[in-house]
Amino acid sequence: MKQMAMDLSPEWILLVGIALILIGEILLRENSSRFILGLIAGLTVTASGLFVILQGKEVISLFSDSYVSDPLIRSIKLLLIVGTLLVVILSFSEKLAAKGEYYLLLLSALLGAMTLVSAAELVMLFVSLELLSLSAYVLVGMHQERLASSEAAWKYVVYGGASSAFLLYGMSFFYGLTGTTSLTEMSGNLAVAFTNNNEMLLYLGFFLILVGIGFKIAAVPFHMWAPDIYQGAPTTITTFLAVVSKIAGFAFMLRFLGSLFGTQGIQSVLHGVVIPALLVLSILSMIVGNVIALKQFHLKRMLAYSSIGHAGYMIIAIITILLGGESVAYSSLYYYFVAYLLASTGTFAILQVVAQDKSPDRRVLSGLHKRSPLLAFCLSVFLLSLAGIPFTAGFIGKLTILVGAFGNSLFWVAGIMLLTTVISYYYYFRLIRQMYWQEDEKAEKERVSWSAGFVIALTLIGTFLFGIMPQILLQGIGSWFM
Amino acid sequence: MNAEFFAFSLFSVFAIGGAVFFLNAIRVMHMALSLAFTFFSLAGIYLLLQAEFLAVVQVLVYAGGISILMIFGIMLTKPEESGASKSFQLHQWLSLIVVTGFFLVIMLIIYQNPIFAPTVKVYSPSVQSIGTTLFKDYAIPFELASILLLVALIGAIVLARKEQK
Repeated sequence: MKQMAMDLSPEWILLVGIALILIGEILLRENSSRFILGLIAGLTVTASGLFVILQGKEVISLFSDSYVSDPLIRSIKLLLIVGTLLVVILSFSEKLAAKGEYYLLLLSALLGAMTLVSAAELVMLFVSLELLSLSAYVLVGMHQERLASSEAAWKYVVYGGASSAFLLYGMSFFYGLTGTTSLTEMSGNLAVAFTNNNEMLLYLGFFLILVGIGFKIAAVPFHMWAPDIYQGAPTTITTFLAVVSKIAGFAFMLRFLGSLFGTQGIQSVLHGVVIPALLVLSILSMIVGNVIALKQFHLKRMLAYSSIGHAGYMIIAIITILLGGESVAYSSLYYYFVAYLLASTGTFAILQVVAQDKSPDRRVLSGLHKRSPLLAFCLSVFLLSLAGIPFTAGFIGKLTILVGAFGNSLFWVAGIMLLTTVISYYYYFRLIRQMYWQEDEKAEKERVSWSAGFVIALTLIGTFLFGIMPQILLQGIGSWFM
Repeated sequence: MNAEFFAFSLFSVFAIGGAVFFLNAIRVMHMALSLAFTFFSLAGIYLLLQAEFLAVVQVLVYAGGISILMIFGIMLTKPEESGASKSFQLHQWLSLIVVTGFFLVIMLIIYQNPIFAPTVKVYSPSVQSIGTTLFKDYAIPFELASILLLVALIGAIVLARKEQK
């Protein structure tokens, strides 16, 4: 019993934090500051991260294999925790955080994401995914006085509900074929079902689940919700959706596809259906995301389309993992996650500072170099990292994915990735030009709150550190789970 | 035509009819009632499939709890009565075509690949065995579901509460 409590400690801590915030919200007076609740949230998330690190290399498997935690899973959990921690810190200067429930919902979303990553069983996967999504729906709509926020929340609920229905329907086919909800048992039974001429049902289930997953990670053609919701949501929540929610979605995808189609008996399905379907998703995401981003003038919309393009790159990394690249391919995906997390969080933090409460279009960046040279420099670095220019973390991330794609002879996809990367230079550099070569009548300096400044500094250091000395992270990942 | 087939036809016609009424009803209260009707007919189908526990839960939770909750919600919020819906527009036709195509594809696949259920494992689950499974193997999802409900409750309050200035 004590051992079990220890094994589940990262999740327990989050539960304790949720309870503390709930009590704190009741005890605090109506008008007093909610800073203390934010502090509790930050400390809880940090403590949870510490417990994840303390668990070290042991492999934990609880409740007849429905909860699994090994170093690989823990490394993704750490990413989710770091992402959420940065969002919590950013929220200190956000007006919305005057409501205590804001932090509670952030913690519950993180809890859902963590159990989602650890789940090896369909019921638990689905409940965790819903916990993550439901918290996110409410967070998106918390700006009640802004119509765009309510509209975004409404759209998110409708799209999210539909995608969950697809996912659940697909899962029911897999359950029907194999008679179990445990992913490990399922992969064995699936090969039997395949040889018993039930392959059409298998394909149907797979495509239904792919639709559901495609919605969650915002891959084309299931991307329609992302721009509207990124635009309407409060900037801190946009960061959360773009970083934590997306990484959790990819972890879910990797776990599901990896454990179901990894066995020998079903290799033909993997090569004949799963990989081609993923390739189509990836190519469409890269092309559509980056091309449509060219004509976006609203900054958040532009970043939404660019993040759709990034989803395309990440799917390539997933394909190389499924093709049997194993640890090398995994560390390239992880590297890309880290680079994307740092650069996106930094960009959104600067957007929050520059645009304040306004809805940011491209003009708010005009002449930023004159007003606050430091901010302009930081934003340039983040954009360069997103574009994948050398000496930033994004470059190494893209390079390792490209190498993996070439290693598996996916030349076409690698070519499209290079091409769309060049397209993406155009809109990233357009923003940089806007900052340095366009004048603006507004002359006052931007006021950077300490929390936003802290996040920007941290992500900037990370982007440079992992860009110049990639071996730190690569060896770190290697020594952790090898 | 035996009694089982007769009961199945009756329940499925009721279930589909309730869903169609739900879509076509103009007043929200009629929608809630037709939804309750659908839930109730589904419970009957579960009973025919010898899933007694599921049938009872369906009646208790869906036909009972959820429907009553919805009717309470409607009575407390007094929704605006919307006028009669307009005739079919282009995008509605498009979605009808897509949904019908999807339905046909799924039906085709399901009917071409019948899954033969294993006949050996017929047992009626006792409440005890359900409880054991729920609290032993599914303890984490069970606990997560309770947090999910808490989040839904808090979220509803956050979104519905007006700011008092």
